[in-house]
Amino acid sequence: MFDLNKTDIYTAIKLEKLFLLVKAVKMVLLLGTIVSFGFFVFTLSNNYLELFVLLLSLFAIFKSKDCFFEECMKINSYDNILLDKQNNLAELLNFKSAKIINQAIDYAQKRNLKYPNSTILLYFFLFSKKNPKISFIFSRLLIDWEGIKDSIKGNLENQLPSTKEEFEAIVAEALNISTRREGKEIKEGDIIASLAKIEPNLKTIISESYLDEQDFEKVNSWMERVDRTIKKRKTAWDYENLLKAGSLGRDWSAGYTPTLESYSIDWSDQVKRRGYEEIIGHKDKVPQVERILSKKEAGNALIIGDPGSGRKNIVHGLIRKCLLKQSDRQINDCRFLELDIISLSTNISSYEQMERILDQCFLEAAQAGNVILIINDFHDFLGGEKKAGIVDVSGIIGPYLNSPRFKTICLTSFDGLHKYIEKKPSILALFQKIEVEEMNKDETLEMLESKVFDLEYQYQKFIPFTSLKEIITVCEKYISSYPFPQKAINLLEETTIYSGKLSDSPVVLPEHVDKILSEKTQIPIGKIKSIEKEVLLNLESILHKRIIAQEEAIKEISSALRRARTGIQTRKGPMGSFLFLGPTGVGKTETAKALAETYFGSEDKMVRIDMSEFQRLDDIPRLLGSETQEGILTTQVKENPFSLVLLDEIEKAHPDILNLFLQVLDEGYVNDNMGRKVSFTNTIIIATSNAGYQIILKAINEGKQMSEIKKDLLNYIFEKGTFRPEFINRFDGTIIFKSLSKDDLSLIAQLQLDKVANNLKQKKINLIITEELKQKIVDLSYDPVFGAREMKRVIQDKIENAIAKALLSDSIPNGAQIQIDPIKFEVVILG
Amino acid sequence: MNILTKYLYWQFIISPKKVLVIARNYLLFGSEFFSIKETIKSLFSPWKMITWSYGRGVDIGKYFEAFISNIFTRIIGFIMRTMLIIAFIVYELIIFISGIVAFIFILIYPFLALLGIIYGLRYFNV
Repeated sequence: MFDLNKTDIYTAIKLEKLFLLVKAVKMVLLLGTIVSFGFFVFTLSNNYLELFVLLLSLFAIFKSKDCFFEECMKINSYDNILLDKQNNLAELLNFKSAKIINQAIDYAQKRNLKYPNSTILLYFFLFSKKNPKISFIFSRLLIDWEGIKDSIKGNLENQLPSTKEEFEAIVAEALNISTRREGKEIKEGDIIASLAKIEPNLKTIISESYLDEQDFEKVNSWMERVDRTIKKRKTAWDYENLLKAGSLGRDWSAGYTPTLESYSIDWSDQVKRRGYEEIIGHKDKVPQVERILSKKEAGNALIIGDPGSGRKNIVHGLIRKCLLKQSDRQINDCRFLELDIISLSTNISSYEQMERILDQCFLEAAQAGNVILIINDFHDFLGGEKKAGIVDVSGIIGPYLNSPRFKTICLTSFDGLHKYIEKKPSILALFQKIEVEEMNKDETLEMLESKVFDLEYQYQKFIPFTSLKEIITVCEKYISSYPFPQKAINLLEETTIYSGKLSDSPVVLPEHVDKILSEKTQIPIGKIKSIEKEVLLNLESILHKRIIAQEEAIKEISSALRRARTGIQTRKGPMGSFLFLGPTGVGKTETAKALAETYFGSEDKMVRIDMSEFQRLDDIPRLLGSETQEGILTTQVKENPFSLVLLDEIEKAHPDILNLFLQVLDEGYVNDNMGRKVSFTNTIIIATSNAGYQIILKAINEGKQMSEIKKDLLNYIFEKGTFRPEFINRFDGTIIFKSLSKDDLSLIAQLQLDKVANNLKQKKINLIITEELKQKIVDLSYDPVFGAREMKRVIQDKIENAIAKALLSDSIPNGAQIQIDPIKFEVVILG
Repeated sequence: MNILTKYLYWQFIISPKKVLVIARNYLLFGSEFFSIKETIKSLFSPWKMITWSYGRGVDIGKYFEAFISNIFTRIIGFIMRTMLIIAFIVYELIIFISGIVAFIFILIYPFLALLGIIYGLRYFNV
């Protein structure tokens, strides 16, 4: 139900003009009060005193009425947004939304439309010029709202009527949006986000741009978060704000820590300087650390996560809670000091002195009773990477870790944990572990949003939401050396700094993000995005420029990839996965190379692994990595997440190694031996095999159809146990490559000879390729079992060698036209 | 709720309640700002927990020196903390009295304003 007239807010809308007058009179009275007080002070006349008291009293009354209107009339009295459907939806509108909707309803009713439709509503929301919230949403989404307003204005009189249900659905959706952002009332941004889902003008903008409906809701949530923070900061008397003043005398009851203070960094000060920022992400980890540190007996937390995954953020969240007295009483009053290893190593050179100082620091931390010691990169202190000034403290710190007075938070990486800390089980046993995964995309977006205003102020640039969205998308796809949020923050900072060099635009555009990342990763990101659709549509013809014959195979690959990329298949795995079966030398690897070049921009974007090297179970560490070596597969995919993975001769790998790929093909990731997830979601996986090639050769000789050949081949493979059915079924397509005919080889010969001719052209020599030469090469290299593999060798032996000799003997003049004699394979100069 | 009832409710319930909440916040903040619980608990503790060890064995001179030093550090701690407690009491008293005054003022200021108008109308010889 929606009935604005029955709400308290409606009374406020009707009385607004009266209270605007009250506001104006109040200002006049204030001026009068000041002036009359001035006269009184100068004249000390009773008359002026009486006038002053009169004006002051009137001012007080008008001020009181103004406050009443602002603080009571305009504020929604509903505390709980969970509204029964029977109740009046209009009760939940805030004053500004209610006022705008009321204007839209009035307008509709004057034109005999019972309810305003979405376009009329949008127009009135856009019309409220000074509304900073609406301005924020449209500007951050880079939408020309004046343009929309003008286009609607021309059509406003011709709007179709809306039904009650349609109108209420808009408000109900706005209520859902408000609930999702934990709001207590429906605000202007909620209505705009709701309109984005149905209003034709907004839908056109969305369909023509990089935006989607959800973006309006996300920007609205961002704006409301900012609004809430600003409002909270303004209430100086709020208990939480008062506590930010800190405390006197807290340290007086704690121990003196002169050495520790010289070699430590106070994180509590950092949190204060950052304005007691609320943490984003990993909120569930803060209570875990809190519980560990609050224990009466020894309690030490070991936070394990990759650098940049937000480990320090968790500690900041805990410190914030402690400073605001929201944590356990045991740790509320503690100081959080990080051991400053840089200061230690620059001031102390001798190993023994360093040990003594560290021991003193630990002793002071234990005796003080109010210190929580933070040790970053804890693995370095346990015989980790040898850096200047780093000592192995395992002997010194052990007894302290056992003490209930010594509380510590140590930070390490998964690598550090496995390589160094796990080797000291007595130390590890004294810690409780907290594992930190990388932040999800929504949390990272929120993190970027929290950084935007500082960066904008610092670099005088405007950063729209679309650029933040682009950062998240490209980081997820192309960068995997760092986790979220760090990689996204780095890219945001770099783009903001360097966008000035890329263009004069005061706006950091998504194109700038692509450009910066392209420079960093050498991946032509913008180009790939723009040509992807074109590539997918014309994949067959593009691949056929390099691949001769294999029409069925190429058609099947292209169709499977189109299905995978258009999202018809619901999948978590890689972008596409194919098993290429066929005899050697028929173009399986060449197709993979062509696909890498077409889809990923370069043949270099291919991770090629010879699976015949993995015939034993002991070879798994070489594939996935171990403490002593990097994994051939995992490291390369981590470094090149947007690439084609070619698993050559897969039938030769150990069956248990093949089982590892079941998860990769199904879920799109594999865990390396450190337990880290390596994602394959942005790769195309191609496995090649010549298992059962005899079946193909025989079937082709018998003139069987491709579908029959495939059936026979798979039956053969399952009978022989080369691959199990569940392995084959994981691939998007099993592609059969047939053996090549002499005609096919002739075309391949043309391609290969063209390459030689092109190379010679650079030396200004024109090579004429004759039919006889091609035929001779085909005759020499034709073998149904080896396909085109021999051809390369024949061309090298017979053609390239002959030309090389002729070039070295200076018998070919510059600009000459040459031909190769197909009988003797000698260079013939034509002129 | 009509507008008059709403106004009366705001003027005599909501606004005074807000004043009380603000005063309570400042009072509670005082105990945190002056760390009063910890200060009272450690009233006689050594200043910054600085103590001298009595050492092993019988060395009356050393024992006496440590004893005097430890007494001295406790006295400093006591003086500093007592000063802090006095500051806390003064602060709380000021806030308490201000809170009461503000609370009463917010309740009666509509009437004070009316009295002021009656007084001020004398300017027009009414």
